[in-house]
Amino acid sequence: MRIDLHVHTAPRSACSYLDPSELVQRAVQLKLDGICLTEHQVVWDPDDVENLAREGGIKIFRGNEYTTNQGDILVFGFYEDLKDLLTIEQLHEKVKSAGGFMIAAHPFRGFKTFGIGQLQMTVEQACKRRVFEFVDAVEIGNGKVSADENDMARKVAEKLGLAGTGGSDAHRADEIGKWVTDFEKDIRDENELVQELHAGRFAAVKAA
Amino acid sequence: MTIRFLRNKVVEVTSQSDGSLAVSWRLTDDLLQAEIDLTVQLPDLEIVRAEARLQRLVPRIWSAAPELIKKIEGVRVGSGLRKIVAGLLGGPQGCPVLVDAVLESANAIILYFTRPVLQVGEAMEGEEKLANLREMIKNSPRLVRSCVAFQDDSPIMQGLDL
Repeated sequence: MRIDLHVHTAPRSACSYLDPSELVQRAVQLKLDGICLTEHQVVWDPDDVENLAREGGIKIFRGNEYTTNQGDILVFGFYEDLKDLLTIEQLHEKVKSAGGFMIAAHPFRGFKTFGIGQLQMTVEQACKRRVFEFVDAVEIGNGKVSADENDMARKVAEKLGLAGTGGSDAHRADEIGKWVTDFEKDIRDENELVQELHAGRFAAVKAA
Repeated sequence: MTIRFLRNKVVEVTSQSDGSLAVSWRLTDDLLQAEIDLTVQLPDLEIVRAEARLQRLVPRIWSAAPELIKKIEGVRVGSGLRKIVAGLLGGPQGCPVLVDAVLESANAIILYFTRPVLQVGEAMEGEEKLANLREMIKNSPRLVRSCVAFQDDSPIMQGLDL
């Protein structure tokens, strides 16, 4: 089952130009089996998600992208509507209590004209980031970062024994599905999504 | 009645012998003198030391600024920094001078690395310059369609499949 685990829609994410209906239409065109709505610290109402899914005939799951003092974290299975900045420890405690799953989002995203290449970061140095002590997985395929930055995330995940996920981080329709996550099993609801994430039965895939 | 208020600010980035960067941010105006010093460790751009000194007519609510700025230690100059700094140093119990100081210091660090990259491109002409820009876009997909120069019909974007 192919799911884009990282998508932002407007107006719930102020930085997004992607209408939810347009997202669903595009995801169907791309033959995705599901999408995760991961707005910036905005939790979708379950009824709205259900209506959207019915409209497009596709599985839609809720997630969230929280900003912590150690960067952005994709969270699944935790639906508290938190607006304030949390430390990575605080978020970890809350998500673990709820049985949720945490993914370090685009951990090596650089700046517009320079990044890890110019900074000459090694995998060993990258592995020391505190964020990796608190997450269950690393986003090793993000549609908005360079191949080198994704590659560094993959190497770090491998070295630390963490699972790797893929998501487009789409903010526009033409960005959907650039990276996705293939799950071994069919996933019917959010509980099963979290269960499969914890089980590690998935792989990040770059769209052809 | 004429009200006169003068404020000056300066920020400097200096490379240290241990490879870190020292950032010195200074503000002086008719009421306040503020000095913020950050040490940023490479390659992760982590703020490993942060100190603040506010002097002269400092509002009482900002008296804890030297302790408050310690919250920024361990944070990286990277994505989400505005939100992180606002969350750690801003708000009713925070200090807006520290928020500005840290963000402007971070901006200075980014410019420290950005300028050489742009200078390389500026020295080029014609196709070589376009090729250099295309390489830059490939390494930073978020630039795509971020401004008119990087729209699909721009000559810079020709031949790129992003």
